[in-house]
Amino acid sequence: MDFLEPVELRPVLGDGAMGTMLQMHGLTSGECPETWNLDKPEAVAATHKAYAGAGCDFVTTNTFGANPIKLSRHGLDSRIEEIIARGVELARGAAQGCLVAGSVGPTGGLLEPYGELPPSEVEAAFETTARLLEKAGVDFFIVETMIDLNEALLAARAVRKATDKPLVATMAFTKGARGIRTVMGASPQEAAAGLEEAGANVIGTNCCSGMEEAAEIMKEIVAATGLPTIAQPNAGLPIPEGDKVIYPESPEAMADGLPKLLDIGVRIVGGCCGTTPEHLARMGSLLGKAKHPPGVN
Amino acid sequence: MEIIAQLKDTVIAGKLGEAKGLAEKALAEGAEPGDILEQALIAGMDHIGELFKKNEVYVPEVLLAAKSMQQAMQVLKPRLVKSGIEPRGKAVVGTVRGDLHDIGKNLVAMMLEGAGFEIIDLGNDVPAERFVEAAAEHEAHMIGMSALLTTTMHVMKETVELVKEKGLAGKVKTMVGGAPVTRGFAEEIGADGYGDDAATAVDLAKQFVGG
Repeated sequence: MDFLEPVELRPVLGDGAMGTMLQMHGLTSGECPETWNLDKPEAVAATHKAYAGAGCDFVTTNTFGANPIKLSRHGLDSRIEEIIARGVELARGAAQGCLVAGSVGPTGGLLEPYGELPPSEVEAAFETTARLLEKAGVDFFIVETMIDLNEALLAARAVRKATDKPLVATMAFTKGARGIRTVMGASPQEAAAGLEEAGANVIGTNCCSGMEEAAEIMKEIVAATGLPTIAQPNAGLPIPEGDKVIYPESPEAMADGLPKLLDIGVRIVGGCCGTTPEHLARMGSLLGKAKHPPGVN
Repeated sequence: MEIIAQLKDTVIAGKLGEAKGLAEKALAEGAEPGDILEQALIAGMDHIGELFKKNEVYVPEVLLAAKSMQQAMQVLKPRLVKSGIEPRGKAVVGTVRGDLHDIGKNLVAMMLEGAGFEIIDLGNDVPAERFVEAAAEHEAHMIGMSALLTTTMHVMKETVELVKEKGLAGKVKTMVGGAPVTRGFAEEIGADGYGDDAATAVDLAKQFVGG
């Protein structure tokens, strides 16, 4: 199945959060979420399965931080191959009938000259991850939650070196005093132009604060590119409650915001932090995809 | 002095590899170390902080300015010590336990340094006890805590409580910040301040030491 084909024909439903779902399963702060592919595979699989049941067309592997630079901060870089292989296997096994997107997240460090990481080292790290995801057989790639366009470009180029499969690239944009930018200052226009040139096939935003902000961001991205676009917002801005935080946008509220995104021209929708299978089921229901009615998961 | 203005502009522009030479030249021309610090480095960082607050520049520009400032500080620091010029205040900073993200904390640390503070940087994954011990040991004026994960924010509360428990409340001020941290949260846990961004954190730190 070609991932890009349905994108042209009808809206595609991506999945929702993995990290905040694993926290509900007991992932503690500071723990490396990707090690759960090895240590608590049942929680990762259950999350994928729930998203598949919600009607998602694809699920995203639990490999967001599975790059040599980030894993080395947990002393886990030597286990990268099994973490990625198992991550892909879990998604494939649990989400029957879904495409599997290989997640490539940021290194967590800053590039030279403003930071300490040499670009060549970062590109090599992304290439390692991309090659392992390719070897494990993902259907396409998603470079996501990038804030630094330079880092996103290194990731996109690394993926392109490793594979010809479709590449989705998302950055975490936010609306500030002078318009929409990432924390590191990349504008939607710069991101769209750069990522397209680096070989991305789909461009968009994720990890932004809810549906309303996503619509504002996507207006600019859709205007800036001829490529299909994607939006995977958070379930609103987190609100602290005791020792926990809650994400205030309900499944209904997020589904209510969906038609606006589609009107703008967004082709792929889904969720990020704080979204649950129930959020995705509501969206799926609206798109005529939900395999189970909302709330059943 | 021309050279001081030139150094300030270099810091603002974030040019790497020039600030050190300019600071040396300024000293050689007889500029007072304190004047170089105040009028070139702190003034330059102040300017970039203002631009950052207005979203006219973003994180990379601030980091480059801070690096440029640090290069000048290498030559200036020994001379400041010799002249008996004290830092504006001391700040213990760190990313809270469980959190390995240090981008925000590093930005705050560099901007505080740029504003003339001495920084005791505890790195990331810092537990409450360590913040408070370091503050007591270094006689710091404040503890600055950063969190990027919503799940680690409770360590901020623990630290604020421990500061009180150790009888350091008032003496050691606490400020919190980071992507998931809100003013409401800071008030709820009883922190002395909330930094919406790194530039605001600097304003707060200045208030803590009396302007």
